[in-house]
Amino acid sequence: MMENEVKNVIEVKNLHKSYKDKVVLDDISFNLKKGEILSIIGKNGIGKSTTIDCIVGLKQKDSGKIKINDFDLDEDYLLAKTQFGYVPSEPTLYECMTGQEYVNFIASCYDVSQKDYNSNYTLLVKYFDLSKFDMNKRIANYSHGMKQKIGLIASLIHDPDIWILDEPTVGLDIMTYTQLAKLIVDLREKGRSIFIASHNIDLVSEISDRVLILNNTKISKELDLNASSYLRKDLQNIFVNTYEDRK
Amino acid sequence: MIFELIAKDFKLSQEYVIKGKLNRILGIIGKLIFLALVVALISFMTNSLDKKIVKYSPNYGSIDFLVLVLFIYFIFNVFQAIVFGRKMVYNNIDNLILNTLPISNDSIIVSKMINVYLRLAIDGIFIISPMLITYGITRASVAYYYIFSLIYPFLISLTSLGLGFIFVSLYEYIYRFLKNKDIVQFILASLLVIGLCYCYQYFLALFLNALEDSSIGEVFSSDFIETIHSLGTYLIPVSNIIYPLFGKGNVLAYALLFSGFSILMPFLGYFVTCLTYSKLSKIDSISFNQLSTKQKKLTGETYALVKKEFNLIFRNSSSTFSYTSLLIMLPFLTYVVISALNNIIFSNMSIIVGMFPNLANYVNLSLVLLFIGAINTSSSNSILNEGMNMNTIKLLPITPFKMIMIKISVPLTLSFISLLVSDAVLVLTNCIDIYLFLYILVSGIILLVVTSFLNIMYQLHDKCSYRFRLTNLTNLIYLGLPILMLAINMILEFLRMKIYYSYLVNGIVFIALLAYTFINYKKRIVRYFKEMEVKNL
Repeated sequence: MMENEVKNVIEVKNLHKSYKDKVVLDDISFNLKKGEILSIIGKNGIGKSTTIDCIVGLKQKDSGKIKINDFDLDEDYLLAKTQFGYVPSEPTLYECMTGQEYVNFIASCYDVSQKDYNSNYTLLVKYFDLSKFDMNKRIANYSHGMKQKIGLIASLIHDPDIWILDEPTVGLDIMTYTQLAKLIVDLREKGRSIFIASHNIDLVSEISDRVLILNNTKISKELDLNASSYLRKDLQNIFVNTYEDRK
Repeated sequence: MIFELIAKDFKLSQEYVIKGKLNRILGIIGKLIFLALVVALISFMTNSLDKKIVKYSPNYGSIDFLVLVLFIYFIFNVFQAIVFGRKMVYNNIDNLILNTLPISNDSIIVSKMINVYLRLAIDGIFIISPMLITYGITRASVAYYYIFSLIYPFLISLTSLGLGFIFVSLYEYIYRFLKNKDIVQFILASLLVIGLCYCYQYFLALFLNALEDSSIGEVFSSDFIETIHSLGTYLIPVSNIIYPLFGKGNVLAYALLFSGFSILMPFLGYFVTCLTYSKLSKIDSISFNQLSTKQKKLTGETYALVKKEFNLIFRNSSSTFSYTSLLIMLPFLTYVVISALNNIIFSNMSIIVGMFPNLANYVNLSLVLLFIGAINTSSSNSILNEGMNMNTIKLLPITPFKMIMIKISVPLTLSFISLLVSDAVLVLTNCIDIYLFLYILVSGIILLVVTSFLNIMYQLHDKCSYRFRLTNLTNLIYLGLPILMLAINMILEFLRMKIYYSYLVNGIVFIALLAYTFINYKKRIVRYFKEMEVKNL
C-alpha cells in the first residue's frame, strides 16, 4: 500500500449470508477507511444488522472474508475482536449488575489498564451526563435511554480504533442524540473509524463521509458525501429513489 | 371487567401451553391421577396416624393433633396468600399495562384476590377435605360433619386470603428493601431451606413409622401430646370450629362465628391492600437502597468472568434458592435417605446382606451419584441464564473454550461443594467408610464434569433433533450410570470379588467416560459456541 493511501480498517469481501432459503446478503464487498465515518442504510429488514452481525462475529457468514485492522475474523478472531467496540440496537446488559459493574466487567475482559480505565470511565460518564448515583444503580432499574448510554460507555471503555454502531439513536432523547453525533465526529477527528447502520437519514447525512445503500441483498449505491454537498442535502431523496427504481 | 382480569391472570399463570388435543387430554388425565394419588395418600396418612395417636391418648390426642395439622396448614395458606398475592398485585409488567387502562385499582385488586383464593381453595379441597372426611369416617360422624368437611376449605381459604392480603404490601416493602442485598437473601434462603429440611425430616419419620406400622412413641411422647392439648384452644380460628364439631361447644354458634369471620377477613385484606397499593406501586424501588459509590478496581478477565457468573446466579432470587437448596438440602437429604436405607438393609435384609456383604456400600454409592447427577443437571443453566446477553459474551476477546470452562466451573464448583459436604456428613455419621468416601468424591466429580459438559452442549446447540439426543444422553448418564454401576458391583460381589476390584472396574468406566467426553466434545463445544447465532433485537 502506498504511503498516501488511507488504510482500510475493515475489509469485507464477497460476504454472503442467507437464512435457510432466503438470501439476505449476496456478494457484499466494502471497506471502512481509517478516520472515516461509513454508514450503511436501507429499509427495515434489508440486512443492515445482519451485515454488522457478521462483521462483529455474532452471526456466521456463509462465505466471504472479513478483516478488521488486518486481522482475519476467521483466523485471528480474538485479535480482531480487540480492535472494535460495538453498540447493538437494543442494549443487552446484565440487569443484575450496576452500570459501573458492567463497564468494569467489560474493561476487565479487554485487559484495559487501571489508569486508562479510570480516565476513560470518568471522561465517558461525564460526557453522557451520568452521575455516580446513576452508575451505581442496578441496570434493571434503568430507563431505556440510560441503558443505551451504558452500552455506549462500555463499547468505548477500551478506546477501540473502530466503533461499530447498530441503530444507535433508537430510544435516545434529543440531548443524548446530539451528544452521540458530536462524539462520533470527535472520534473521527482523533483518527478513529466508525461504521454505523441506521435508518436515521438525518444523522447519516449530517456526519457520514460515505454511505452505502443496501437493497435487494446487494449494495446498490455507494455515495461519497464529501464529494458533493448536494449528495449530503439530498440523501433522503436518493435513498427513496433507490427503492422506487427497483419497483 | 373483573372476570376478564381473572381470565387474563389465569392465562398468565399457565407456564406452558400443551400443544395438541391428545397431549392436553393426557395432561388432564395425568393431573387427575396425581390428584387421586394425593387424596389417597392423605387419607392413608390420616387413618394410620390417627390409629396410632389414639393408642397413646384415647381421649383427646387425636383431635388435638387434627387441630394442630389444620392450623399448620392454615398458616401455610396464609404464607401462600402473601407470596402469591405480592407476585400478582405488584407484578411490574402487569401493572405497566393495567395502570394505563381505564380500570380501577379496586377491580385490579379484587381480581387478584379472587385468583389467589381459587388457588388456595382448590388446594384445600384436595388436601383438607380428604383429611377431615377420613377422620370423620373413623368416628361415625353425623351428616353435617361431612358437609362441613367440603365447605371448610372454602371458608378457611377466605380467612387465609384476608389475613395474607393484610400483609401483602408489607411483604412487598420488605422484598424491595432486600432486593439488592444479596448476602441477606442468601442467609434468608439458607434459613428457609434449613427449616424445610427439618420439617421434611420430621414428616418423613412420621410417614416411615406409619408405613412400618411400628410404634411412634419416639415421635410422640406423652409430654408432646399434653403440650398440643394445652395449645389447642389457642389455635384460632381452626380450634373454634373443629372442637365444637366434636362436642366441645355449641356447634351452630361457632359455625356462624367462623363463617362470619371468614367472610370478613377478605374485606379487611382488600381494604389494607387498596390503601397501600396505589402509593407503593409508584415508589421507585431504588429509594429503598443506598448502594456504594466507590469506584471499583479492575480485575483480570478470569476473575471478572467468574464474578459475573456468581452475579447471574446469586442476584437472581430463584437461582439463589435453587443453589441454596443444592448446598444445604442435598447433604441433608442424602444423609436422611442413606441412613434410613442403611437401617432397612441391615435390620430387615440380613439374608441378602449375608449373600452380598457390601450391598449397603454399593447402594449408597449409586444413590449419592444419582442425587448429585440429577441436581447438577437441573441446576446448571449457565448459558440460558445469559439470555440476550449472549451478544456480549460472543463479542468479548476471550477464547470460547475459556469462556465455556468458566461457565461450567462455577455451577460445577457449587455442586462439588455440595457433594463434598454430603460425602463428609455420610462418613462422619458412619454411614459409609473412608474408602467409599474417597471413591464417591472422585467418581462424583467425574460425573459432575461429564453432565456439565453435556448440559452446556445442549444449551449451545440449536438443532432440535440433536438436542433431543443430548437430553437422552444426559439422562442416560446421570440416571443409567449409577444403576449400571450398582448392577456391575452386584455381579462382581456375587462372583466373590473384593470390593476394591469393584472400585477399580467402576473407576475405569468413569475415567473412560471422562476421556471420551473431553476428547469428543471439547472441539464440538467450541465450534457450537462460535456457530451459535445470537439474535439481534
